[in-house]
Amino acid sequence: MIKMNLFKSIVGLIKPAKVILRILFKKPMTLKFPREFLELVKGYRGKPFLNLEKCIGCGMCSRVCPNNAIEMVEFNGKKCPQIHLGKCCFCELCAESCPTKALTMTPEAIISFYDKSLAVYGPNKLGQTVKK
Amino acid sequence: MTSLENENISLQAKKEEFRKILSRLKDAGFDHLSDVTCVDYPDERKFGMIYHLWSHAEKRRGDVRVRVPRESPSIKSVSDLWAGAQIHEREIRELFGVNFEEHPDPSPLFLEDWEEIPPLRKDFDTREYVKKESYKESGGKQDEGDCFILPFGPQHPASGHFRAWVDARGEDVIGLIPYPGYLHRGIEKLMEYRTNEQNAMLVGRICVLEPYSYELGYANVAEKIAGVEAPERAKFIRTIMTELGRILSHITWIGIMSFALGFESASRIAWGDREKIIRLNEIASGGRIYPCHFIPGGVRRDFPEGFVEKTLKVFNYLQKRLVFYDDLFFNNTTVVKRTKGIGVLDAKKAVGIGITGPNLRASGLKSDVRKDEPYEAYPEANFEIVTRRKGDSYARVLCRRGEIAESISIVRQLLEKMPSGETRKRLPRKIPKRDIRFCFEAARGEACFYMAGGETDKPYRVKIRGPSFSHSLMAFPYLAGGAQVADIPAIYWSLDPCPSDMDR
Repeated sequence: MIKMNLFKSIVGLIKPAKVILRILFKKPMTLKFPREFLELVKGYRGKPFLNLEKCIGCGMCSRVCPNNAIEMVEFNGKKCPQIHLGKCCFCELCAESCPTKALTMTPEAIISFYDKSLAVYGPNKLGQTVKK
Repeated sequence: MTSLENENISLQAKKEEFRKILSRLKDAGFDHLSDVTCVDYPDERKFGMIYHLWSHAEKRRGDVRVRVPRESPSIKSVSDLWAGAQIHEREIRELFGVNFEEHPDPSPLFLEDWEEIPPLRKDFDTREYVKKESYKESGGKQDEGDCFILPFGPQHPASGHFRAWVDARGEDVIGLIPYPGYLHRGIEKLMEYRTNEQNAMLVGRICVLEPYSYELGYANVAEKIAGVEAPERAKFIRTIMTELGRILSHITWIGIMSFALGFESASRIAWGDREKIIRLNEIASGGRIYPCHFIPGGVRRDFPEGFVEKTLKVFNYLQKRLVFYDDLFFNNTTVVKRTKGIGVLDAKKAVGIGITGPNLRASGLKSDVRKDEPYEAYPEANFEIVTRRKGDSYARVLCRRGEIAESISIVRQLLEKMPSGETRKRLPRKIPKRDIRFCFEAARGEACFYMAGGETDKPYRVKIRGPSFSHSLMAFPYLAGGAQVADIPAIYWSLDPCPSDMDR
């Protein structure tokens, strides 16, 4: 058996209980998620956004993507990226390599779907501005 | 060997006499076998085996290279010299098909009923295999053991993605067989398909709890092989963020450790504090858990405005919180009684089985890659190596508490000395044909990247040493033998293993 100083071990039991009791009367650290959520910072790498006018269809984004999530598709007479958000790892390499800065990342993280096929964002869907 | 004193040595040995050389090196002080790397050279019909050694006394490294013919790959085991070699050899036997003669336990580690060519050989195509196998319906086999085993994990709340078979007679544990592989993603092979930039996004996934350390390691090894030095400011940013990652990892560990001991209040509180540092990650890099911040050649983002003030604010909060944790967790009688004197690992045994990091320092050995082979901006900071003498679970607990405080002091010093200037250099696309090994101190211990180039834009071979590989698969079974069933979570989590860097 490990022998501990009796006084020390009693203090070691009272103090944690005291600390925890005090926490009971404090505000919780968590947020009640669907109703309130943490505001993301400005530079957060969330859902990609495509500026359709700026895109020149060079295909740099699809070449640099580590997960092959980006495919170039025909849209309004030019090639534009189509991103499979299920494969996307949100690393921002595509936005970094974009020569005209048409592709950017937005601070939007709540993008989940019931169906895999809904995760494929075509140029049209990528071009929509973020809902607030 | 007199002319080579205090220098790293690299030797090329013949297959017949490499064991003689290794045993002489062991007698000469190289007591830690850091890793064994195998590289496949199908054009030369050879396997290249590299034994990476480290001397704790002289603080230097040694490499011994051996070539093994590819047709009948067979080589003598060195597990009698370093007990820790056993687990590395088992991994190579499975992933490369190299046979180790006189190996005590050559059973497979990760793969179940594998009938194809060993997966890390060059002629095995991962992408084809995934296409073929991934969507196939499998029947699923049931293990039919005839002995009584107590399964620990992978569904146990305190096991992580790791399974162990505990052979128990009543309350006493007779033996423990680890069963890894639940998180094996084959990252080493995946990296052969990706360029340097793309790999930088992948390496963070090696360990979920401290992605920064591995990003730093990969950035360094890629820079070293290209012969490029990162800008000074980038080095500072990388060191600061890595230390933040270490604090993050240790605070997460307080949560898991208290959860493993059945003290859930502390676990929730610690995970709440973890959020503060995740928020700093988010501000600095744009990612919360996987920052993808460092890239070979520097960093992708400089510190945004106001980041330094926010960091200092979080540190003030954390330092107050550490005193709070002393009351809540570190001096808690229940925690002390459940960890003191349990899972005692003495320094000599620990070195023999390849233990590194806080677990080794808790046994009283001053060993820290940050001090022994300073890299990045660590020479600029003045810090102590936190050690404890007893080597039991409680010593490991206290060692990590000391490291949180030490990391806070490192970051404070570096923030004051921060130089200005550029933060990123471009690397040449091609990786030259040579090999480099870089070791760094992750939160769990010594981690290493070995990289060989082949004049293409993708690495020819990458080998990763995860510190938890030795901790979970060598130290845990050793310490669990003879313990009580109820102590298993306390021993396991006092080693702070991370199944994802164990499996890779």
